[in-house]
Amino acid sequence: MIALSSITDEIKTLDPLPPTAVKLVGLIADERSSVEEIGQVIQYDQALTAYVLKYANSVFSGSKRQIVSIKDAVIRLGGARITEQLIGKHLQAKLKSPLIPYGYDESDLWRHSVASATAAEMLSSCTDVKISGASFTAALLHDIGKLIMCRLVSPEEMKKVWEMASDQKTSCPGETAEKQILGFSHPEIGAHIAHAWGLPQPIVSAIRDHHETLSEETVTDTVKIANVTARSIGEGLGMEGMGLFIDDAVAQRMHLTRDSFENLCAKTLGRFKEVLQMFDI
Amino acid sequence: MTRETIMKLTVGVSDMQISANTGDLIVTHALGSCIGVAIHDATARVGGILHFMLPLSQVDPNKAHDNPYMFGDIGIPDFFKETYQAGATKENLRVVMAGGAQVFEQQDFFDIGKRNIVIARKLFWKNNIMIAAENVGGHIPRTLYLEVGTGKTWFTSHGETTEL
Repeated sequence: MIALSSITDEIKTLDPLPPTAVKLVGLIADERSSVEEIGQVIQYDQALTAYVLKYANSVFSGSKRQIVSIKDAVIRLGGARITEQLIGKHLQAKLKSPLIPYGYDESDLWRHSVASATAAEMLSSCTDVKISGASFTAALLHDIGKLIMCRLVSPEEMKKVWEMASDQKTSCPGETAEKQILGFSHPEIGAHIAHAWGLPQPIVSAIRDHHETLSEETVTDTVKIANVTARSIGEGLGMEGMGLFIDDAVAQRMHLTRDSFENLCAKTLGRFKEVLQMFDI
Repeated sequence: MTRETIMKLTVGVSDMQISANTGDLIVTHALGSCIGVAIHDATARVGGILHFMLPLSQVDPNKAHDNPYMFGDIGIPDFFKETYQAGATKENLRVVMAGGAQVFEQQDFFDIGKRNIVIARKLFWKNNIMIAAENVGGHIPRTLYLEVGTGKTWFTSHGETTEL
């Protein structure tokens, strides 16, 4: 069984998020934030300013004219996407490492995280429900707990988790077996990480509840849909495969039909490779 | 052009590969709810794998136009036609399929896997095509293989190999 103290000790060994990223996440989680406020935070960070302008003028931005001001770059790209890029680049190396207990080879968790963030981004074109910019970051980070989980448990303990999850009599989603056998699940550990990094509550809750049925928050629902979409396009199957629980009520709350969900999968697959490349600018 | 060395042809999501080179091994990874269809003509020694992601092309006509192999309803017929053009005949075909894994849920809203299985079976039944072997459903991810020279098909999941 995992002790809470060992989780908090391990979290301390992770590099915290850059302060600019934490400020930006706070702004995009607040609907009242203006483009000017987001631009001001970016301008205080020289390296980020250079990156954002380069990104805004790359083939990925879709802009035909040259963008020279941060304000125009924020309008063009959106604060949420800039924040997702900043956090993604910061965590890229860690998320690319293989996580054998979850059946992830090198880059598998990274690809799953980016595919989920892409799905969260594409969701707004498939529903009339307003998708918060915080959802991109929440989707990108939803499985961050797996990083710490792999440091805390032995291969034998994890084997028991998958035996329980796949046994016909006890068949259940992986996180249910994690909780029963290890005492903590990867979403709970992920929420501890997000909290320690000072991320806003909707993101912490979405990471904690991305497999829960009771939560009805829009950011959490978006992450649940993003996770199942990423798996439906074949990204991040690992040991769990398609074995995750998702309540149909999520679709009702998010005004999705079966066709619009399948359309989301098609759009996400189309956009995913482009988003992966964007992280290498 | 003849190739003497064994080539591994990897089929991506929403794609297909057909080969008449007897040394080729065709493989498709990451079959979750997607379905891999492997077909092989032992006489013509032609075979291929299709990896389709969604059942019906109506959900995205633009994508369907650009890439029919994303969808079962138009990808399966196109894939068979391409295989016939490469020398295979319907009478000699051995057809197997794997994938269609399912999520845990009360109903089946997000269950693309189940809908993918239904569309593939429906199309095969309508066209008098027998499925020689299949391993579908459950929650597991699968990787499907076809040896073009022998027609041998198998899938792996969590390190275990099962012949089809």
